[in-house]
Amino acid sequence: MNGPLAEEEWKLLLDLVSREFGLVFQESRRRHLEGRLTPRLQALGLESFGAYYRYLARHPDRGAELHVLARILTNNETYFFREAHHFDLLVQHVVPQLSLPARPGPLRVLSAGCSSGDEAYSIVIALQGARLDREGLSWHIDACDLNPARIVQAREGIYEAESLRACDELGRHAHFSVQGDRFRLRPEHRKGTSFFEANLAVAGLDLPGAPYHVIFCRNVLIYFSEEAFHRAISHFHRALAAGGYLFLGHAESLIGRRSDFKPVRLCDSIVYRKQDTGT
Amino acid sequence: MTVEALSDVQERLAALQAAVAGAERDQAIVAGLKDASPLVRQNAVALAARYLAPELLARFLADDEDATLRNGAQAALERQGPHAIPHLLALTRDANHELAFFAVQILSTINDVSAKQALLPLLDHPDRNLVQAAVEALGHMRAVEAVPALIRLLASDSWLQFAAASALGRIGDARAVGPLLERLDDELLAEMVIEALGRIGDADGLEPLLDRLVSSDRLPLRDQLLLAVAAILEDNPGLRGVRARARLWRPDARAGLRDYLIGLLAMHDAMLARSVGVLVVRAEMWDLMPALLQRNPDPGEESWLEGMLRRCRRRAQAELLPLLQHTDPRVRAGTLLQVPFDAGATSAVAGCLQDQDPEVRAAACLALGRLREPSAAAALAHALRSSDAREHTAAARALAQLPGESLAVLAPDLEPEAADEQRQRALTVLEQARSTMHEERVRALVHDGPPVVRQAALRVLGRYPGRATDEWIMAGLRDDELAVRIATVEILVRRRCRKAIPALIELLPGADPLRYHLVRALGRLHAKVAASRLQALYTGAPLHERIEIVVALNQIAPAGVLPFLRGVLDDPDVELRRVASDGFVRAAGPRELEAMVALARDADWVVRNHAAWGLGRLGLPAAQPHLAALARDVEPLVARTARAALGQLAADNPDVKA
Repeated sequence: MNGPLAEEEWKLLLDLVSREFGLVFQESRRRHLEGRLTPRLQALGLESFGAYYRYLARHPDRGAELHVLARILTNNETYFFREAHHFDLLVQHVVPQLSLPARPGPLRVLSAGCSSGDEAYSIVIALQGARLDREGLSWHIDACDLNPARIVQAREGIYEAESLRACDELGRHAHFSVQGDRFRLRPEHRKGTSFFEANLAVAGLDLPGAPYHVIFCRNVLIYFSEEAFHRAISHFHRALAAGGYLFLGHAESLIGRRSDFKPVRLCDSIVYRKQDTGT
Repeated sequence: MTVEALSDVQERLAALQAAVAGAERDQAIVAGLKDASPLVRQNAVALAARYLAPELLARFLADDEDATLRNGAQAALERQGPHAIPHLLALTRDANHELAFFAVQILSTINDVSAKQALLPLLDHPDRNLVQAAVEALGHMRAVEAVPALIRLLASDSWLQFAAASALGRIGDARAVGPLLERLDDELLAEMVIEALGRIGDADGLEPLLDRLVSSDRLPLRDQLLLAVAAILEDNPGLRGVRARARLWRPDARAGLRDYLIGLLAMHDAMLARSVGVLVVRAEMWDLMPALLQRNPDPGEESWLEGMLRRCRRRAQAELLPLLQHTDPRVRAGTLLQVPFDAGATSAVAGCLQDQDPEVRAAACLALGRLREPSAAAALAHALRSSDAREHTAAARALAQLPGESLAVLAPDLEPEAADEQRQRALTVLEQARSTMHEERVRALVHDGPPVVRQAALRVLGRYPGRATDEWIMAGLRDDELAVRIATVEILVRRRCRKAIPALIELLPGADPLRYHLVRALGRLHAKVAASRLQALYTGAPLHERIEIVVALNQIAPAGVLPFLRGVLDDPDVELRRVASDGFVRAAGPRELEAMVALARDADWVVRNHAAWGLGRLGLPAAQPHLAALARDVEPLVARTARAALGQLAADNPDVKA
């Protein structure tokens, strides 16, 4: 007689993923996820997802495997100038509203859930494209991700053609040099960027570059549980300077969910501005 | 929510959990159902399903003032499932029609067959909202009994017509096709009627839909027509006459359809693309094949197109073979991957191994593999030595599909002078093909070369039939390299090699990471002789090994293991308790009923889930009240396990209530 364990193993695994990373996977993605995890079972010599769960829960090498798991689970799509209007808003509306001449020090931006760095470098390219550096603006772009392999990739700055799908031919030549069938970001666009590993879903996250004037966290929170979502937004609230801006993806919204950010309509987009909670 | 509010929510959640054990439990849960935070409400719904009576929850359904409380009560009743059904059925007859409406909606979500007959009379109810809810519920339950009444409702007001058409589509009964076709030109209803006809999938619906697909240029109606036509064609693979009908289309209408279909292929909608594929193949619109084949399909998409082309293989090959010379490499690769060529196409396909594009060369390898043509072996062996990963991976897969003797071509790749990577690739082919060729050389490689080659050679031997190879594989247990020893253990388990059990037991005292694998191997081999050694090892072993020792003992199930498992159940580590409870409920007999009932009240949901399963396994009528409580567990998985156990208990014992 078979026990009830197939469903149980699956739930245990999903609960662990939610607990460790704050990520949520719907039943509809089960087969997809099983397909991505099966090679790990083979690599570790494990016969079932139950054995894999126990390995992740109690094995002495669980820390290393959790890193691998994070890499597998967060291998999401990203590309340069995704939702390009956000970068226009940054240079045309947000930066001017931050009263730059009066603000001491560089503009500080965080790209949270940066994946392979496409977003962070897109910000630099946008700021340079608007010639803001020539107008005396300096910046520091911090970028973090849960996946250590993505951080390595971001630091390398080498991309497949797929990552450049929103760049026209001119943009490709202006910002990248061809390296075989891949593209290397030109060194000048790395200016002022730094990458580090961070889990947005854990309590007590320390974002070393805070306070930030702007935080980008787009198409990341859709995979978060309700609790992890609120925790991440609270991190952003703490890490933003007074009146700082938060950019979310088009499928993510704070309206009706948080009162510590005020939705602001800029052109046809909604961005969020930190509200002072009086603390 | 603010930063401070988030910590308030955590406090309210903790208070709600604490109230479960107190005298004010029910009030606390009801307050939780009204809480401002979705997190708290979600937890309160689970607790309400477990602890509140359906009668109480139903009172909140009638609450017009507080929609949050009403929604919470509805969600809780849905989670109560069968427990709530008798009360919900009574509510469907309530004088308060709104209450009856909610009851029908909840019954629809619970989707229990016992509710069907009770819902049928509601189709004649004077309240239109209630009729609509009943129509939707019966559609959701796929109630064939409702078809005549639903067909009658197609002549009712537009609101009910829409619901009835949708329900008829869900039920999928062919009696509805004629009445639905009569409504096909109804502007308001057309989209739903088309969807319903597609869902029913009856061949009588095809021609009218096909004619409208060709002549219509209205979106999204045209998409709906295409989806429905494709669904009917897929449901009726033997249906003929589509090609003949396509020939009757006027040239301008055909050109319009062609442009529309090509436009769809440029989109990233797999469902619509598949529908285009079905129509193109069944109507034999071969001029559209390049557009179809050049798409980069989602995984799995290739196989359905290949499956469809296979039904008209000869004609497809004649029409599509020239596409191997197409200027677009995506079309060439797509043709190789998705067209089911036969042996007559071998030389044309093999010619593509010289293509300039590596994707096309890889696709050619895979196509040759599917042809299983021995004459392609040498060319594929050459591709196996390619530096391009796509090409050599595809060549390995293809070679593994060829008849066994074809793999003689791999001899040079296994020689001592061959590069390690080359030997590894050749061994992978032999493993995938389960080939016994080059046996002597493979055996030599178990002791030769770097660890990856030794492991690959062991995996090849692991696929050999019969027991003669076991000794050679067991030599891997003495390998200097830990990774090879671990791989050997796994291979022996997969071969169900009981001969290896003494050797595995002998290695147990070693404290290296191999022991974790040995313990699991002995469990999976059901090695009864190892049980006492594993129990002896338990006390001094690290936590992760202790967990696996318990799992192994659960698999071995030696006599007298219950006291040991009972002891583990007292351990503070939750993972240990979880695996111990699994073993306990599998081994326990009727005498352990009390202990099982204690597990059913455990704080950990996994332990309760095991208890629910174990109580069902015992099949004792005395377990009924405990299973009934678990059937409303806060954790839905536990509730499902308990309901299944309760159903079985009732089936086996007529006096027990499910």
